[in-house]
Amino acid sequence: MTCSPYSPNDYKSDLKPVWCPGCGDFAVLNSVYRALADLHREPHETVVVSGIGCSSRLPGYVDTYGFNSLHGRALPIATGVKLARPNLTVLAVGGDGDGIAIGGNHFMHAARRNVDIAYFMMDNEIYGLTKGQAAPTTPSGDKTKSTLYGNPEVSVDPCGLAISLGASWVARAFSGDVKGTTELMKLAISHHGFAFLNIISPCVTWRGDDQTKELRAKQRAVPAEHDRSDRTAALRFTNEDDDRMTVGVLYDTQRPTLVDEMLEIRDKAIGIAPPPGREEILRVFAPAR
Amino acid sequence: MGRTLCTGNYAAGHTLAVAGEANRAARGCCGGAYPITPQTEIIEYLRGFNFRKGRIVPVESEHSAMGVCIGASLSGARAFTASSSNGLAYMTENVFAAGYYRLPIVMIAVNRTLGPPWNIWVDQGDSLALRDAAWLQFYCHSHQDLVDTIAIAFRVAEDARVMLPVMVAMDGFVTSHTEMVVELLDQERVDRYLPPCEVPHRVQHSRPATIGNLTWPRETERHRRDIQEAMERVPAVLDEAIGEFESMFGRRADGAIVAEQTEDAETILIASSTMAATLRGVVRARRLRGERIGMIRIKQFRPFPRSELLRAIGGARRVGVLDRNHSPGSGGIFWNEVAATLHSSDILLQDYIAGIGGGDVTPEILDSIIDDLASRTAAVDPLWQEVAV
Ligand SMILES: Cc1ncc(C[n+]2csc(CCOP(=O)(O)OP(=O)(O)O)c2C)c(N)n1
Ligand code: SF4
Ligand SMILES: [Mg+2]
Repeated sequence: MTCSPYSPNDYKSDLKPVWCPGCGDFAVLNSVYRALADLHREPHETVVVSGIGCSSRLPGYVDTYGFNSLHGRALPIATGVKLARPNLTVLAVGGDGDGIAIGGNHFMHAARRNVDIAYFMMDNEIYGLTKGQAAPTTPSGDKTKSTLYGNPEVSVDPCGLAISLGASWVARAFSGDVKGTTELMKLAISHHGFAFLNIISPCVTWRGDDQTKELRAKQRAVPAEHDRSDRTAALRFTNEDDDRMTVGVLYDTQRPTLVDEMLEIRDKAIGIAPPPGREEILRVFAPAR
Repeated sequence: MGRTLCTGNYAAGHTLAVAGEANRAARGCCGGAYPITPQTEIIEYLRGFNFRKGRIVPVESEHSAMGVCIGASLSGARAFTASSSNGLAYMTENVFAAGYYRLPIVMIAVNRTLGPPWNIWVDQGDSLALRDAAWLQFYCHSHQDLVDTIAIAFRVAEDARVMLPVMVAMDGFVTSHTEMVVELLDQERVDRYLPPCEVPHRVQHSRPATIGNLTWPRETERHRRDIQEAMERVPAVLDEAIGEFESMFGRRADGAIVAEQTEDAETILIASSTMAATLRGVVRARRLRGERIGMIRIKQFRPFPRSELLRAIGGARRVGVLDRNHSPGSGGIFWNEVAATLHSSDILLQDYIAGIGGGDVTPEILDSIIDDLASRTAAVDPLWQEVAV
């Protein structure tokens, strides 16, 4: 084993997190520090892009390049960064609301295009920053600030969504398990293609102290015999009706990334004959006599 | 209802709710809602209100929130929502659509600085960026002003002579989150004040039609001119709405502009929203010291009240405009409008940009601005007035 030139502390910025005491996002942040250190990622070659939300404050706490962008817009910006500088490690991070509500359309296209970025969604089943309104991940029936009489909507499982949208790597983590989350982050960052990690990260303020306990009790590991390349099998661990939360890699496949495809097109284009000259064009369009 | 101590957001939420409820004998009310600081309490109030005929639905973004309002209004319901800052920016495409569809939607804009960089405090850049969206715009300086303006907004928006959406703006936190004693409107009188909402071009089974099809330039031009003409009818309609408001509720609501001590004034300051409330104290104090100074609060930004303003400015020699907003490459946005209004006069008109990003524009700062204005022999480019924080 080679020794990392970096320790997790090297990725800490001078900003002190302003999350509520007990917020699951602290553990996510620690896992990010550890994963980057373990993978020896140079801070100056790493970019963390977020949207807006409690969770989206994360880039400010990491001593790499970062964008705290607009609500819901992390993925297009991360795509731009990756296309311009394919050699950089690009992470997109943010909340469930950011990624599935207001930014939901970008999730589809980043996954479908297989942009080579790792996307960590900190999922607390609520809009935390705006003080507790229902998100698309909020379970049906739950009372929140915007669903005073119970949430009438069907909730979304981000992993199920990612798999059906074409993400090439999909996993679920529980933030309370820093070691497990770190390992999954490392796999996500190392994956060649769009890697989606849904991190269940409790909001103690708007979902209550019990959320952490309940989620911890519900989690179970992906069974050893699960075939990660089997999309249909992977979908069985989403929208689980036995009210469990399967943690680990659900889906893992390889296909060309957006950058691979673009490079291939460029190479092909280089081999094509130069465009026709003026005489040639006039000849083609000249009226028949 | 009696007098109540409440926040600006509560006052706005309550007034929207009673206005929506007032349409229960007609086609009810509806709106889409999406949270953003500092307006969130408004939509939360509406979510908690048990409308007898209507619903405010939480949706996934501001774009959709205005989309729901458009659909509801096109179906004849009384439609309303609230937003702020980047929420308004994201909603923009549908804000224009609502104006161009001629739908009498009412939206509360709680002014907050646009990001990035992120900032939650007040400036008017968010709603003023929508000044060309075919909406009426009112900027309120107090909780009572807000309540009265919202009720009047529905009257004016839904008037067949206008039939345009209305944005009612207040200052983020300074108004939205502070408490003031306010006379809230009771349901019974709002029921009488607001006639049933009638959108003449609403969808009707007896008249199937597709709205918003491709048009030729000439048709589009006529459509825009129709909107301009509707804007020109606003002063008369607003006057009526204010008059009837007074006979119903027993108090006179503010009109397009509020001029104070301008009759013999040599110097006039122009401001809007809560900055105008601070300015009032400063101007009064200087009057007591014998200065011939007055002020004008511009409440109605669209349509811009040119003739009212010209009348109020009268024979003043110097006019200073206070802008808590900024159009990069130009200057203050109110100043631009005032300059266009005064184009043929030789008044010394100076712009002061103050409180961008929510800085506290204190009476001391306003005093120093007025001193600066008094010392000028000619106007210069817009001046930036830095504040303490
Ligand atoms: C265009 C726009 N609309 C609304 C907001 C207000 N807003 C900020 S964060 C947020 C939701 C946050 O929820 P989520 O993304 O799940 O993050 P969390 O705070 O729960 O980590 C909203 C609605 C905004 N900043 N920009
Ligand atoms: S509100 Fe919830 S998500 Fe936001 S910092 Fe507090 S605990 Fe975390
Ligand atoms: Mg969330």
